[in-house]
This record gives sequence, C-alpha cells and structure tokens, in this order.
Amino acid sequence: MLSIRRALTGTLLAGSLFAVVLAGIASSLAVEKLVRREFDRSLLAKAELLATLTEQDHGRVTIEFADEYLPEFSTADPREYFELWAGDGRVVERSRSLARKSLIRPPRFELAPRFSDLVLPDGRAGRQVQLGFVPQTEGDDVDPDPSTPNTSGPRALLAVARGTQDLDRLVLALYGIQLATALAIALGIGLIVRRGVTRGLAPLADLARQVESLGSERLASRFAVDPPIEELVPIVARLNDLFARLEQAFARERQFSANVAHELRTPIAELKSLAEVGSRWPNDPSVAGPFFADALAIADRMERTTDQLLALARAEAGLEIVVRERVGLAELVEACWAPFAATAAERGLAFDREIAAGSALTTDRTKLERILSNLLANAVEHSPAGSRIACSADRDSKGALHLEVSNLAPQLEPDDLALLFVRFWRKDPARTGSEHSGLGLAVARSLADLLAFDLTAHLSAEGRLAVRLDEVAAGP
Amino acid sequence: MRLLIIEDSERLRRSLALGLKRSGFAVDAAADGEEGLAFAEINAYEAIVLDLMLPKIDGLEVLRRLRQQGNPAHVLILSALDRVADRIRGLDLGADDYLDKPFAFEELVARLRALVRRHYGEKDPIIRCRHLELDTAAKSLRSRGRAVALTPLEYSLLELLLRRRGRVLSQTEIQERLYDASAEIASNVVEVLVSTLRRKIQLPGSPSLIVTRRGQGYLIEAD
Repeated sequence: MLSIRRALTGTLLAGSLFAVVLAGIASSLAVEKLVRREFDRSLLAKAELLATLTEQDHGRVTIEFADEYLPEFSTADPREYFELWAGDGRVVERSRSLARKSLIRPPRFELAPRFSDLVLPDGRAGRQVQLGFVPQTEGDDVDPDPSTPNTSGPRALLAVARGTQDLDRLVLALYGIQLATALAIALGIGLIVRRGVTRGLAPLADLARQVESLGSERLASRFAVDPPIEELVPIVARLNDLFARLEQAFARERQFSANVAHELRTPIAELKSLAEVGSRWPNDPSVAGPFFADALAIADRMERTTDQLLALARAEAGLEIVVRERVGLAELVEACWAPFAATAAERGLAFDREIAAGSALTTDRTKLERILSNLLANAVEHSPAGSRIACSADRDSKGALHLEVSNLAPQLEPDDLALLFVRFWRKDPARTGSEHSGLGLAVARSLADLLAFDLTAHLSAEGRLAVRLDEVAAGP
Repeated sequence: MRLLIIEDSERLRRSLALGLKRSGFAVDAAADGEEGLAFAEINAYEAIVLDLMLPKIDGLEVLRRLRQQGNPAHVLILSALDRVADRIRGLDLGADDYLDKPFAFEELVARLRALVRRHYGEKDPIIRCRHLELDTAAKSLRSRGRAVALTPLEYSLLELLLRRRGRVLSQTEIQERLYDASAEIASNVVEVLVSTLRRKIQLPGSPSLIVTRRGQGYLIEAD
C-alpha cells in the first residue's frame, strides 16, 4: 500500500543525501585542488630559492648550493630532487639525492613555471616543477624582482621534484573526513527527516485514528484538528459535513424502519389475536362470525400500507415510468371524486369545482389520479361535517397549471404544515383505527416530483387548508 | 375477575374482549383514553389492559391519572412501542407489566392471571380451602381429589369467594366482579348462581362452605 509517510521520508532522504554527497564531492575536490596548489606553490618556492642561488659569471652559470642548508636534496628522508641546466643543455648541478640519475629536462626555455607528474628516481610517484630563468650576475646584490624577470644574459633551466605520498595521504585523509562527515550528516538528516515527517503528519495520523474509531453507531461524533492545520481544515470540514448528512440519513432510515415496523405491528396484533381467539373457540358464533370480514379488512389495510411503501420506494428510486397522455382536467377531477361522493354525502360535505371547460394537460393520468385521489380522500375524511370542499384549476400567464384542493381543517396548526408530507406523520399518532397510514401525502409529493409539479400546503387564517399542485414548467 | 381493555383498534379490542370473556374474565372495553378513565372511575377492576397510543388522552396520561386517583387496579401496558425507553417510562409511571404488540393471546391471559393473583397478594396459582383445590391456571376444581365441572360463571364466583375468604361480598359486589357493563342481569342471578355452586361443592353431611349473611351477602370463612 502506498504511504505518504514513506514517500515523503524517502523523497526527503534521497534529496538530502544527494545534496550532501554532491556538496561533499564538490568540497572534497575544491580542498584537494587547494592542497595540491599549495603543494605546487611550495615546490615552486623551493625552485625559486634555488634560482636565487644560481648566478652567472661571464656567461657561465653556477649555483652556490650547500647540502647542509637544504638536506632534503641529499640523502635525508623524504628526499627531494633538483637539477640545473645551463641554456646550452649542460648540467650545472644536480642534487645528491639524484646520484647519477636525472630529472626530465624541459624541452625548451620557458620563464613560466611548468608542473608535471612523474616517477621519481627512487621509484615513488612525484611532482616536478620546471623553471626557466636568467641567473643574476655574481656580485650583484640587488634581489631579483619576480614580476620583472631578468631576460638578458645566459639562460638556465631548473627542475625541482618532490614525492607526493604525503600529499596523496593528506588528500585521502581529507576524503575520509568528508565521507565520515557526509555519513554523519546523512544520519542526522535521516533522523531529522523522520522526526519532521512524523511530527508534520501527526495531525493526519490523529485524523486517521478518529476515522478508524468511527462506526455506524457513532455517527454523532465529529472530527477535530487541534490546533487547526491549514491543509486539513477543509478536509475535516467536509468530513464533518458528510458525517452530519450521514447521521441524518441513518436517523431517517432508523425512524423509517421503526415507523414501518410500528405501522405493521398493529394489524399483525389484530390478526394474531383474531386467529388465536378464533382457533380456541371455533364454534362460538360471536368469535367466528366477524372473523373473515375482520381478517379481510386487516389484509386490505396491510396491502394499502405496503402498496404505498412500494410506490414511495419506486418513486424515490426513480423506477416509476411516466407515460404521458392528454388528460382532460374536469373529467379527471370527476373520476377522482366519484369514489368519495357517497361518504361526502353522508357527512354533508359539498364539493365545489372551478375548472374551465376543455382544460387539459399532457401528463401521466394514473399518477395524477393517484395524487388527486389522495388529496380528496384527506379532504373528505378530515373536513368538519357539513363544510365545503373546493377544487379549482387555472393556468398562469406563462401557461403553467395550478390545481388546488381546499377544505376546512380546524385541527391543523401552522406548525403542522411542514410535517404534512413527512412519511408516517399523522396529526393524531393514535389513529390506529384509521385506514390511513400517514404515507399518502409523502407518496403524492414523490409522484408530483416525477410529473414536474410542486406539491405544497397552505393554511389560511380561517383554518382552511389548501393543497396546491403547481406545474414547474409550462406544459405543451 | 373483572378487566378493562383500553384499546383504540376496534378489531383488536373486540377480539381481545371476546377471548378474555371466554377465558373467564368479565371484560369492559373502551376505545380511547377518556372513555377508559370514565370506566375506571365507575367500576372496580382487578386489572386494566392499556394501549399507549390512544386518541383524546394518551395511555401514559391515563396511567398517570389512574395512579393519581389511587386506583388499585393492576395495569398491563399492551403497546406497539417496543423500545426499552417506552417500557421504562410505562413501568415508572406505575404500570405492573408491559407486553409488546403483536403478542400471544395465551401469554396475555397468563400475565393477567398473574396480575390478578398479585392483586390478592397470592403467588400460588392453586387456591386450597378445606376439601377444595381451585387451579386458577387450568380453571379447574377438584373436590377431595375428584374433578368437579363448573360453568365459567360458577368458577368465577368460587374464585372470587376464595380469594376474598373471610370477607362478606354483597350481591352488588359479586355482580360487578362477574359481569361486565354490557351484561343483562336478572335480579336473582347471584342467588341462583350461589345455589348451584353450593350443590356442586357441598360434601354430604357437612355444613355449607358458602355462608349466607342475611341482608349482607355471602362469604367463605377463612380456615
């Protein structure tokens, strides 16, 4: 599995190590160059010293050299070597250390010093400086000016060589120190990077722990990043927002399940009690008589509830298919009212229609019928006896249809309006004897959404409830 | 034993009342909290079966008022609300038992019998008195070990007299305990009932177990 911590640590460590190695190599090379330059400078200084000891006397080049002052050119260890040639190539002097051997003679006369590596006469690796110069005249006390070398008179060539073992050892030691330093720095960087990454990612790890500890039973918990971390604050805010919505959804789900269970418990209890009592006294006419009618009524009620639940589930899942056709409004209202007409007459309810003749729309007849039937059923059941139920339809200037069913609803209060469309809500929760499950308006609203209608409820000051079905977009 | 059912589901109320009557209880039934309270104020019940979600006055409020009025009836809550919090609330308000819907009718009857026993401070379902053994669970009577057939009313009368041994019960009290409010009762019904019961439980040559107190009523004397 990919890990931010490992990726971050790896990248930082690799980058840091690369920088350290690069810096180490660069600094080692620079130091080596400095040391070797210093070596060459020292070699040149020795050559210049020998040059100052060289004189000319009437065209003849001589050197006033004594081994006791410069013992390194004799047999002392470590040995150094020099050889002096006159301009004509004749060897003027060579160090005792050379014995009968010779250094490399410069091919031509050059004033500028020339350095080169070589194998010394004793077999060691060494370095040589070659120097061309015009010796000073014997008896001349004036010190030669290096910046204005004497160019007149006989020329001399000088080669001075020295072993480079000490220099190589020093350079090797420097590289060793650099390597050790680089390793120590790398180790330090490793520790710092690890600590830094761990510390930097601590709020993320803390957040991960909080997320891990959450389950569906702890949805009320919220995430916290303390102190606030700029990069995490928006994530935490989103997570908390998501959990708040999840919690609401779970609560709705639980409430819905509880409501469904409760809604079915009563008819099941009725049926069970009926069956148990009936089976204990099967020959008692007072028990057996109403048994079948009761069982049928209970089954009808359960069927209605499950039908409405299925309709709600299908509508909310988008499984309802809308089949549009031309529907005459007046004819539809009459068809919906017909099943309630007898009950309305028994209760002395009047039904007023205000629908323009020929008014029609293109919609799903079955679904609109179901919505309207539900509104009329509620109106017939809840209107006070002897009151009036009204149904009106009109179109606005944009052609959108507005259908309204209104009736007196003295039992409703303004606060109830928001609950009217909530699943299983009933004004009186104890209406177990009612044939209504409290799902009708929830189903009606879902179907209205499918048909592109807004279904809303309004309560007038006089206690008249108006349920409005407003077309969202104008029909064709 | 007289019971009150307060239940708004008409079908459930009807089947419960029928079943409990056939199980030997005198049963009154109310459809809402208001009616239930009115019944409880007028009549004395051994036990009340109470739904919680009732129209007009909800079940918990009915229970609170019953207890406030000092009604001694044992209350069994019969509700579709099955959460622990609902049970606790009901029991804390003074209910004696709680049964979830849907329920087994046999269990309801057994629980009601237990409540009736508790009402009379008894634990043993078998009431023993001299040569009689009344099994309140099986609703049966044995006299000197032999089964005696009783009608439901004779059984209820004997159970009432045995449970209230040593106390005189007037004819009115007996009527109230044995018959629900809807029963049509003849004026001499208790006398006839006592007479037939006496004959069934009487041992030859021994004095009657059921004693008549002129102008007061009937009793079975304590052992």
